[in-house]
Parts: sequence; structure tokens; C-alpha cells
Amino acid sequence: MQSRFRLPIVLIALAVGPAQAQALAGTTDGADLAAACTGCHGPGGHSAGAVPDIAGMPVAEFERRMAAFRDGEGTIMNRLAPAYDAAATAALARYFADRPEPASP
Amino acid sequence: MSDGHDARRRALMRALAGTGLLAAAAPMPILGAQRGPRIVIAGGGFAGASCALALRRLAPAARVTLIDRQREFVTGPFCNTVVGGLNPAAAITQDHRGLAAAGVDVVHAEIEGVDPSARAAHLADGRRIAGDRLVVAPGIDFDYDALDGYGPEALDRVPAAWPGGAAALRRLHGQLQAMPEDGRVVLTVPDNPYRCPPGPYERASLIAHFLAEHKPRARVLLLDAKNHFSKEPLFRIGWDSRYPGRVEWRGRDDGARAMAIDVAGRRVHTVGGDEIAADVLNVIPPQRAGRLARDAGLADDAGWVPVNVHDFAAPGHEGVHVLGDAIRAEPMPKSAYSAHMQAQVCARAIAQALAGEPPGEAPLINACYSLIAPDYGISVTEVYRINGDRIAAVQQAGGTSALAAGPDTRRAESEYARSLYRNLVRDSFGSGAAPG
Ligand SMILES: Cc1cc2nc3c(=O)[nH]c(=O)nc-3n(C[C@H](O)[C@H](O)[C@H](O)COP(=O)(O)OP(=O)(O)OC[C@H]3O[C@@H](n4cnc5c(N)ncnc54)[C@H](O)[C@@H]3O)c2cc1C
Ligand code: HEC
Repeated sequence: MQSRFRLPIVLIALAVGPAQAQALAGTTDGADLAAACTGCHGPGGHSAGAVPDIAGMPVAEFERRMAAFRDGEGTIMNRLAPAYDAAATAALARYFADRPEPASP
Repeated sequence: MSDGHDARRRALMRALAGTGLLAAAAPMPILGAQRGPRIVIAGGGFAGASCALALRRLAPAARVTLIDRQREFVTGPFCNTVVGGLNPAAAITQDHRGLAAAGVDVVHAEIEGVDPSARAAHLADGRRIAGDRLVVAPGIDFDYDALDGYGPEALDRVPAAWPGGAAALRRLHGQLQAMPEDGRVVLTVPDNPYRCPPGPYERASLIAHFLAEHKPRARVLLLDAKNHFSKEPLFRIGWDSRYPGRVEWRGRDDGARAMAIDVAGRRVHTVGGDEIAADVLNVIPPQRAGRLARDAGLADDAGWVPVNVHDFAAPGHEGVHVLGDAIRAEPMPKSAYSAHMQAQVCARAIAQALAGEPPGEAPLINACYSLIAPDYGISVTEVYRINGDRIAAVQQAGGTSALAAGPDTRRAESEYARSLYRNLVRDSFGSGAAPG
């Protein structure tokens, strides 16, 4: 039982070596971070309906909006933005800025 | 265990072979669908479908097979709008066509059981589908043993509609239409954990909305096994302002927990000794993980599946992941947003393991809107971080809508609720119907 339980750790260690601990401290991979947002904002930030479309939003504007949410603006973003520090916000801004405009609405 | 080392080595070789890592020394062409690692997903609700869609994006060389008995299904989210008569069931009926278009092999069949050691699903038609990874996402089952007198044969007369299916939702709405002008609707609500913590109170709200328009003297009574409930202050404010005197709630300390159901008489026997008659009775039964997970030995004694929160793997079952309502992921609630979120994390972890990349860890979000009326929305949200082997809510974030918010905010949140539905469905199933 114990050996099976440990296997995934062995596997990961073999596959990735010492990089693991560092990565676990918190990722700045935009796609990973954005996966928490797209349930509301839609795939790639392309929203249908009232939630704002954030696909293709310029980085500076995105960061300005997130700063305003951290200062209390918004109906729900004011409860989400405080969890994201400058590095995570910058990664999210780049990720959504890079999403192309939708081909069709 | 004298053969522990050997067993471990063999298992490791097997796992590496499965992931393609053993062959990684030679440059590999992009594998055709037949050659890449195969991921089998049992259950195609929000959890299973989101995982399949994310895997197609994150691990395009992998073959992803998703199995579900339902070709079309109504969603839990917005099913209360069908009960309240605001939407037809068709507006919340989804399918797997968007997944197929994204390259997922979709199999519509009853799954007899899953075999974690072989990472295989056995179908009722005799087929067996095995993979390098198995994702189990069967949702919940009702625990009929926990409520005397109530069982599957009672669902016609006393619906659960949680969400059941289009027929169950229509039946419950039909009972509301047919009830006396001064009748009483009774909902029984189970103790935690159960699917969609604010769901019963949203349902009571939208039933009250229907009654206010069509049965002005009728009332709703909630018989709850708990003393407190999700978004309680917001629901109470909403009920007082929109449905004064129409919604009554009794909790555990009032002895309101349902002990037995008299189906023929549409009566509830409570722990406190009351016998409560209803004109329309909606029983939300206690729940546990879907049968597939329990039969495979993945669940604990209480009937829920414990998981490794880094990749939603089932501890002790190599290559097996479990997602959605079936798992213990406290403090994440059992919601479609949570199921979708867990699926993103799981798909990313599988893709990273297949590619030999280091795992990254990003915050998780849950968000649930509820409608008190079509133009009155409220919400709860949390951001979570993985803290050691636990999921922990981030202290400086999360919470419910402002208690003092005005009608503009309530209206805005009702619009956001409808938009979230459409976006979550698109991000989970690749395409979908939309309610008004
Ligand atoms: C009244 C109500 C309101 C809700 N409102 C919201 C909301 O506003 N927001 C929100 O986020 N969540 C909401 N939810 C919760 C949401 O519906 C669930 O959390 C979500 O569906 C969980 O997804 P899942 O994939 O784990 O399970 P499911 O969606 O139940 O999917 C499980 C799938 O597995 C399949 N399956 C199971 N066993 C087998 C088998 N043996 N063979 C073949 N197929 C099988 C089933 O057919 C099903 O399609 C609500 C739920 C209800 C009841
Ligand atoms: C629960 C749904 C929900 C989630 C989850 C969510 N958002 Fe939002 N977002 C909204 C809503 C609603 C607004 C409008 C402002 C408000 O009312 O809070 C918004 C606004 C925004 C805006 C400003 C858009 C504009 O045009 O002004 C940005 C940027 C944004 N969100 C980024 C994010 C990021 C990044 C995440 C993930 C970390 C995220 N959102 C997660 C619902 C959500």
C-alpha cells in the first residue's frame, strides 16, 4: 500500500528534479492563473452577456482595472482582486491581452 | 513488504510507458490520436466535460475519451428558474457536441463500473475502455437510506428535482401550477455536505416569486437539517423585501430536520415530532458520491472521495483522479464552478506530468450567484490556495454581496448570473444553450 501511495512523488521527482519546490511557491503562468477566471469571463476572456469581455484588453488598462477592484470598486471583482499580487496580475494581464478578438460573436 | 521495491519499479515503468517519458530520448513526432497516451473520463457533467476540454487544449497529443449515459441533460445551475416557470427546460439543456467538435471521443453509454487498478471503465453493453489515466466524475447519488419512507419510486409524487431531468423539473413546476390558491409548498433540506449549498434557498425564492404572481395566498416552508445556511443574511433581506411573510424557514434547533416522509399523504415527520402537511412537497435528500466512485472503493465511510488537492488524484490509486461533487474538497462547495475549477487543475497536472514539466500551482476560485427574483441576484465567492495538503480560503479575499447594496447592484448581479451561466457552460462543454 505504502509503495503505491508514494509512486506519484517518485514519478514527479524523476520527471522534474529540483524545480518542483520552487514552482510550488506560486505560479506566474498566465494560462494557469486565468483558468480560475474563465468560468465567469468565458473561454479566453470572450464573454457572452453582461460579464465584461476581457479578451484583448491592453495590459495597462487591465492592471488599472484590477487596482481599482483592489480599492473596492465592483460588485464581485472587489472580492477577488485582493488575492492577486502584482506579479500574478501582470501575468494575467499579459495572458488576456494576448487572446485574439473572437472570430464570431 | 519484501517485493515493495520491485512492485514500485514495475509500476513506475508502467506509468512512464503510459506517459511516453520512456521514449522521450528519441525525438517524437506529434502523436496521432491512436498513439498518444489515453485518458478515460467517466462522467461528462461540469467536472468531466471541463477536464476533457482542457486536456484537448493542454495535451493535444493525448487521446481523450469521455463516457456519459446522457446525450442531453439539464444543468443544476438555473434549474430553479425552470421550477419557478421562468425558463423552459430547453434553455438549460446541454450536450456533448462541443466536446466532440474539440476532438474528444464521446461515448454515450451506461458505465457498469470503473476499475482503478486497470484505469478502465466497464460499460453495460460489454465494452471495456482502458487508459493511462482514469478520471472519475460521477456527481452525486441520493442516500435514500437516510430518510424513512422516501425512495426512487416516490419521485413522481414527491420530486427531488436536484436537478433530476427535464421531466422532474417540469413535474415540480406543474405541481405548483395545480396546487390550491392558499396552499403550502414544503422543501426539506439536508445537512452539509450536499450539492449546491445555496440551491434550496434560491429554489424557495423562485417558488415564492411564482406564488406571488399566481397564488397570492400560498406560502413556502423550508424544513432544514441545519442551523445556518449559505448567504443566509442576503436571502433573509431578499425574502423580507420581495416576499414578506411568504417564506418561512425552520432549522435544526426548531426540530425541523426531516426524519420520515409520508409520500401518499405528502407529509413530513420531523425530528422534533411535528407532522407537516404539504400541497407540494420537494424533498432534497441527503447525498453521497456517485455509485461509480463508491463501488470502486474510492469513497470514505461517509460516502465521499478524499483526494490529493494538488492534482485531484485518488490517494493509493496510481493514475486515477476524481473530480466534482463526488469529492471532499472542503472548503470548496459542491458547485459547477468548483467542478470546472478542479477540472482545470487536474487537466493541467496531467498535461504537465505527460510533458515532464514541473507542476505549477495557481489560486482556485469558486463563485455562485443565486436569483432571489429575475432582477435580484446575490453572490458568494472565494479564492483558495493550496496550503500543504489542504485547500485554504485566502483571508483577504472572498465573501458575499454587500448586505446594504441597492436595487441597481441586485439587478446587475442578476445579469452577471445569467452571463456566468453562459460562459461557464461554454468553458465546460464548448458550446451550449442559454436561459433568459
Ligand atoms: C438546484 C441546483 C442549483 C444549482 N445551481 C448552481 C449554480 O448556480 N452554480 C453552480 O456552480 N452550481 C450549481 N449547482 C451545482 C451543480 O449542478 C453541480 O455542482 C455540478 O453539476 C457538479 O458537476 P459534476 O460533474 O461533479 O456532476 P454532474 O454534473 O452530476 O455530472 C455527472 C455526470 O456523470 C454521469 N454519470 C454518472 N454515473 C454514470 C454511469 N454509471 N454511467 C454513465 N454516466 C454516468 C451523469 O450522467 C452526469 O452527466 C446547482 C445544483 C442544483 C441541484
Ligand atoms: C464570479 C464571476 C467572476 C470571476 C470569477 C472573475 N470575474 Fe472579472 N469581472 C466580473 C464582473 C461581474 C466584472 C464587472 C465588475 C464587477 O461588478 O465586479 C468583472 C470585471 C473584470 C475586469 C474589468 C473589465 C472591464 O472592462 O472593466 C477585469 C480586468 C477582470 N474582471 C479580470 C478578472 C480576472 C483576472 C479574474 C480571475 C482572477 C476574474 N476577473 C474573475 C466577474 C468575474
